[in-house]
Amino acid sequence: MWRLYRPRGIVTRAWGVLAAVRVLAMPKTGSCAARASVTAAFLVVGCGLATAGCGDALRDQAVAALGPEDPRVPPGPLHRSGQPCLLCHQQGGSAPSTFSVAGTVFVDATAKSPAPGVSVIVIDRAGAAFTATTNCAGNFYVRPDSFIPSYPMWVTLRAGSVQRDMDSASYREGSCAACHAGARGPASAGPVYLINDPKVEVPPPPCR
Amino acid sequence: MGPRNFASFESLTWLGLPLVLLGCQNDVSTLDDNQGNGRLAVPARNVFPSVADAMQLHCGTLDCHGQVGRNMRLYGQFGLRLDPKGDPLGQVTSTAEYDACYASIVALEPEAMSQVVQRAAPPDTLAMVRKPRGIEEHKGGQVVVEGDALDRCMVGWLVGQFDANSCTAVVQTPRPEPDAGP
Repeated sequence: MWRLYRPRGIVTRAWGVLAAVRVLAMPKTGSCAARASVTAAFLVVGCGLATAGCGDALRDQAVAALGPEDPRVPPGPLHRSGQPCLLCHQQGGSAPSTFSVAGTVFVDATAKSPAPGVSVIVIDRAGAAFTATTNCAGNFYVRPDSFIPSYPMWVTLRAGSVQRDMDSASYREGSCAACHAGARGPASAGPVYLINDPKVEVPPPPCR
Repeated sequence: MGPRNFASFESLTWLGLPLVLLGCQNDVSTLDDNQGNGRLAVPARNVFPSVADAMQLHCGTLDCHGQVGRNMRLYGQFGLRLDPKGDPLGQVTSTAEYDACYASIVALEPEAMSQVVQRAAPPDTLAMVRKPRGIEEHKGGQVVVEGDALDRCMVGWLVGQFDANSCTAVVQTPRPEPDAGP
């Protein structure tokens, strides 16, 4: 029976320990108020512990799946290109700064080279627009104090004479890589890229 | 409250829990009413592709219901693909994908949907109407306004008054264009 119903998880175990301590600490005699206050105290402590242990497990798992930092690229504007920025750069996330929209633009669909200097134009349902520019890693980011799109939002890339429009809107996701993760497949639109036809479209010059 | 009363209070708490659980059980007992009798009404399948195409653009993107983790899971050309070799923006939505979308939607709340289809309940009985209208908490926020094109498209289909023009209007709505570049 114990095998069937053994407590699972740190929170369950913590509650079990607290309940046992409460029984031991409960005065055998005394007023109801004293007993009630002991119970209340343990409830407060227990709820506090439970709350402290309640992070966003799914987000933590997703962040862990991204792997460690590339040792050649220190954390900053150039790091983790192609990854879903807002996993960490959001309220409650592990990064010190928050973004409302962020991502990486590559030169072409192979995603081997970043596309610097690309204007990323975000347009929301209200027609408000904001333009960010990609850096040497192809990364761009929009801070909430600059612009928060009213979803849905559409995105257009522009560099020189090349313009690439996103075919469908984003309805709630600020990280490009949430939908443009890795290779193109049944659940991914593939990397965000600028040049579709290298014969007629000129990519931006690389960073020096 | 003395010690005895406090003990009684604790006992009542433990007695109350099963009662609460029993109360919950009663809430779902109505499921038996339609179990296996095959009489649940569903909206039309033949016109569904137009509805699905409209929903695809507003509900079925990869960041929303174009995900395998969704109960209302939408497949299609601009989102999640059913074919493991498919990809967004590849082939147009297939019949199998329309079938999968249809099955996903009609299986969400079969009894409630049956009532809506038979006009025994208002359309906003259904979560698929309440959520996009913003009546019920929706992670994607309010997506439609009652009476707009997508709302008319979905609700018309649900109540047997399919409105092709509304569905087409949704699909043909142009995306906002950025100002002309340099």
